[in-house]
Amino acid sequence: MSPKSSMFVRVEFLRVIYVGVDKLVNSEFEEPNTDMDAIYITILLVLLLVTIGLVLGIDRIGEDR
Amino acid sequence: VDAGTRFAFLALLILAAVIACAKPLGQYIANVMEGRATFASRLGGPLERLIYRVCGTDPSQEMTWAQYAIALLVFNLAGALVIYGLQRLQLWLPLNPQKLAGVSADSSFNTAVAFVTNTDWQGYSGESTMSYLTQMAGLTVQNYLSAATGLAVAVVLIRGFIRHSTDRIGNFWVDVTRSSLYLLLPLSTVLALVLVGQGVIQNFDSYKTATTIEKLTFDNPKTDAEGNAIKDDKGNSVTESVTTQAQTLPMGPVASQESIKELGTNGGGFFNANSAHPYENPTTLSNVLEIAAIFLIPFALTYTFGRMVGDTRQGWALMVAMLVLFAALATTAFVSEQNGNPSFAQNGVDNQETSVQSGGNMEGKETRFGIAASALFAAATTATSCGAVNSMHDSMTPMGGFVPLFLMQLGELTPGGVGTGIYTILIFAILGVFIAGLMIGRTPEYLGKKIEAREMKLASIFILTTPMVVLAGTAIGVVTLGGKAGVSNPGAHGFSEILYAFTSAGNNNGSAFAGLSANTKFYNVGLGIAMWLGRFWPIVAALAIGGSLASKKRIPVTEGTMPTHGPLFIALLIGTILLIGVLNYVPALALGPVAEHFMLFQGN
Repeated sequence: MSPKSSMFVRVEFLRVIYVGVDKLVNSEFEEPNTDMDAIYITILLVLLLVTIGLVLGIDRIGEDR
Repeated sequence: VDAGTRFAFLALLILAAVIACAKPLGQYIANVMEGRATFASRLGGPLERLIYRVCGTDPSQEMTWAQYAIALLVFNLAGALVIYGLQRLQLWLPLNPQKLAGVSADSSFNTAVAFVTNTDWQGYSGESTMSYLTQMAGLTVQNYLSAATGLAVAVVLIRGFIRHSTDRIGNFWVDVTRSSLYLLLPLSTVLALVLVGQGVIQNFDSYKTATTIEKLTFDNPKTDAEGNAIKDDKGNSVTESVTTQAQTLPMGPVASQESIKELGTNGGGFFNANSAHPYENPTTLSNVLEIAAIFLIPFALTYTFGRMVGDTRQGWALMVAMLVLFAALATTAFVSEQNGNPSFAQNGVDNQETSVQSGGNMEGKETRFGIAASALFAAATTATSCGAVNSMHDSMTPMGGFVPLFLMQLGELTPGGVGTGIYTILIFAILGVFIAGLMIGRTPEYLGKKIEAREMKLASIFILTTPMVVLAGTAIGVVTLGGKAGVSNPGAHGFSEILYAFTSAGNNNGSAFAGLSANTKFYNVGLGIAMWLGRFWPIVAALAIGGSLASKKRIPVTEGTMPTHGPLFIALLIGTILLIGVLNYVPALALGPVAEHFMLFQGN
């Protein structure tokens, strides 16, 4: 890929990201509910952390073997 | 030919075909997962190496069980976030000819968790909710990756028996790549093409509108702004009469999703009616192929297990235990459905099978499939972690509905999902030899590995997590307003609807007693959490058991070693599975399908 093509790809990539962020910020959703997105993504992260906690906790099981 | 003969013939035909494939396919899976050269690896080798290079994976770098578990968890969380984002942003993304709006946040959360956990619970109606891009790039991709995840965990547990004195159990990225690239992708491509040949659609067209010859008038349930059914003071749904001559025919890339839906024991349908929809399951042959596809990999994995541990008799023993349990429960479902509702006979209605009527309980079933093929599909889909349906389980007789419920509650190990079935039954085998060891006063051992306190504690976590999730979720569902609001049938059947929903979510099945209105915040969040815990907590425990076994030394087989390939062990294993299942769930089952069964026969 030539430097010119490479630059074109990068600019296009940034443009797509910008358009997406712009739409989110300007709330083209039917209702401004990005708060709800934050809540559900947080629930997912909490579920992940709790399960990783199980991984770390399990290492202590059976120390009395 | 009566329905009983058709059922027996259909079941034997499918099981014989699947068992015949178990040896060659199981051998092939063992070769793929152990990195031996196969015809597929010669073709796909460059692509596999490219994937490793792009992802920065060193395939020779093996992981400890904890590293493996964390890689698995982070990978699945990333998958959930991608599906969530695709649903929320689908209006602005391509391949959305119907301009379907972004999915609500709570439904997106539920669906994201459902598809990464191999549950594929669907609180939404696919054709009116999901764009083609969401279906393909989100849901179908996860159908592959969630099945590959299950297979990876199974292989780790098997490696625990093979390896000794090591803390390395494999590389998660390599296991997922190999199983996707060399097993799931080729098989599902072939099946998709066969299904297209049978009439399953595969296109990106916008929906078609057909004008029907007759005007159709029907009662349409009224819903509120959130899509919940509006009910009157007596709790009955409020309907409005609608007359139309227009019929919308949904389109889409169905075959490519349908094939992996069955082969990966995922179950998430492209359409709301799932495999009862003629575009997903158009013919008798496609129905047979779909049932066989559900069974294909789980049964083959028993041979893979035997092959990898160096004694194929061990794998056959597990398969026999699976078959015995499945045959008994599937037959119960068929007999219950064919006997139908006793109230018909009590009121003088002829409900016997004759040459001009099927008899039995045909409510919620496709006439083109009938009772035999519907009962067999219902048992197959819940004996595995599939959850696809070709009939409505909510309309089954109480004992007919009991069967799918109980098959899930046993842990979905007859033969279970892709990977999940074999690792679940192996943990029951560990529990079985432990119980036998207690009875005869010897240290339990299985396949040359001592089963000690650590393994039993981990097995307890594995076995108890799901019942805790299911029973606690059901209890919350029946006492809260949010839980009760979704019930369409009060009484014992309503309890069964909630119990079924949490059983399906906790066991990662995905089928439903669809009378329950589950696309509400309560069920979207509650079932989402149940699906995550029911999937990943047992997986963590299974990986830990694999790691623990791999670190042990092998012990030699002596005269005192209990054989684990004979009838005695098979009986012990079946007894252990039934004992755990019954102890966990009998009280709940008594309040649901069992109570409903007795009410039905009393004429209530």
